[in-house]
Amino acid sequence: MKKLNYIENFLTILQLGVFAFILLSLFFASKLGPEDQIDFFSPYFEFDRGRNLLESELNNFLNEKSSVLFTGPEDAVLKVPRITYSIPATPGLRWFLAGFMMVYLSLIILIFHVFKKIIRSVTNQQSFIQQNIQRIKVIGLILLAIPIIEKIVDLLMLKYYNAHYAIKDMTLETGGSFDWTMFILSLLIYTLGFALEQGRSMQEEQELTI
Amino acid sequence: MRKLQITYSLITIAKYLVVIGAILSVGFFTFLPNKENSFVDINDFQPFLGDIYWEIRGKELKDNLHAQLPPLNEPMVINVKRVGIALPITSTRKAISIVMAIFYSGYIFLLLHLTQAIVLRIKLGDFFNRLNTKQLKQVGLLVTLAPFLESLINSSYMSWIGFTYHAEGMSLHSEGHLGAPVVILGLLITALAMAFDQGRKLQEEQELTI
Repeated sequence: MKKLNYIENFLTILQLGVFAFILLSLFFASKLGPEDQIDFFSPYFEFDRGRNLLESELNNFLNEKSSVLFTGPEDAVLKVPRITYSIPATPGLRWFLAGFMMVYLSLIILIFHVFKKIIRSVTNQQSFIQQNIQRIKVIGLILLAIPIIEKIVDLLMLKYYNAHYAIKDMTLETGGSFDWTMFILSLLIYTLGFALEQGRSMQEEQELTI
Repeated sequence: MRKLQITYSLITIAKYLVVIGAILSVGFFTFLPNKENSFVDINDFQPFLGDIYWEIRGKELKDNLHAQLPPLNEPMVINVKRVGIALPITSTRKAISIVMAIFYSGYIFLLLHLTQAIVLRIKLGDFFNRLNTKQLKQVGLLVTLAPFLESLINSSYMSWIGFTYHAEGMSLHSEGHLGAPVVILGLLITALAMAFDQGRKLQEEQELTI
């Protein structure tokens, strides 16, 4: 049970860290002005395959024309893998981003909170209570939903940017592929919820026998 | 039980895909001819791990690269913030890629195999036994350690590049694919393994009563 105490303490520290991060994000969002730029790293512009003039120009510039001093014992070349962009930090954009981050991080804090409740009940030898089964299924569902929501948000952002901005010989990409490992592990959590249901009925039977 | 069947089928499909992916990757890197004049991005040599890139710090280089880019609709400003490094295709790099492909696929396969065995036993109604508890603890440990392992391998690779090559006005960075949610998931699985242990004891007591 000592291990569970460590996990609970670790979760409390993480919870406080996430909370501090929310406060810091709100502070920085309030400090930004319209003259400041917000850098976006996703979606980004990726060079189309095949002979790409812009890609060749940028790579040639980096390796030959620019004053970049690139040294090493073996042959190597510098490459521009992608082009990112910045947008002025208008009040609408920064509060939208701050709000989105708050919702996302609040969800993470909720997971920590529910998880800590599960740990406390396991520590008190009350693993098979109805609330725990619901808690595990809730966490399983949230974790299952996160990769799906991320993919949907990515696709929506791609659709918006493709409609408004375009560069010749370049395609907008999000880079993030569907997180299958996370998806399958969330299914495992959900499955374990079923097993705990069985444990509960077993415990009820035992209590009736006594 | 239908949900369990779907979960079990998904895990089986994922296992086959991992094996096919591993065979294709090893085959690709084995039969790839050595080309001293052909440069491949380092992130393409190790697609299973996080990205390694140089971040441009010097203002002069940033401005010069920006001058090469085509104009875009206001208010978006495009820029080059990150630069990749491409190395020639040599036997050493191919060998590293093969080892990494086998290690990564083996890790995921083991994780899926253990998960599949647990789901199968739950599906058959065999919930609380020593094997389930043991395997759940192993899955929890493998999941919790995964982001740290990824970070360790990435940092080692990054350090080698940092020691070997030097680029003025740029600093080397790495970005992992796995993050805090995976660690949380691993800890949750470990906590559930403890609950399963309680279930096993409960079942043993019940069997003794009968």
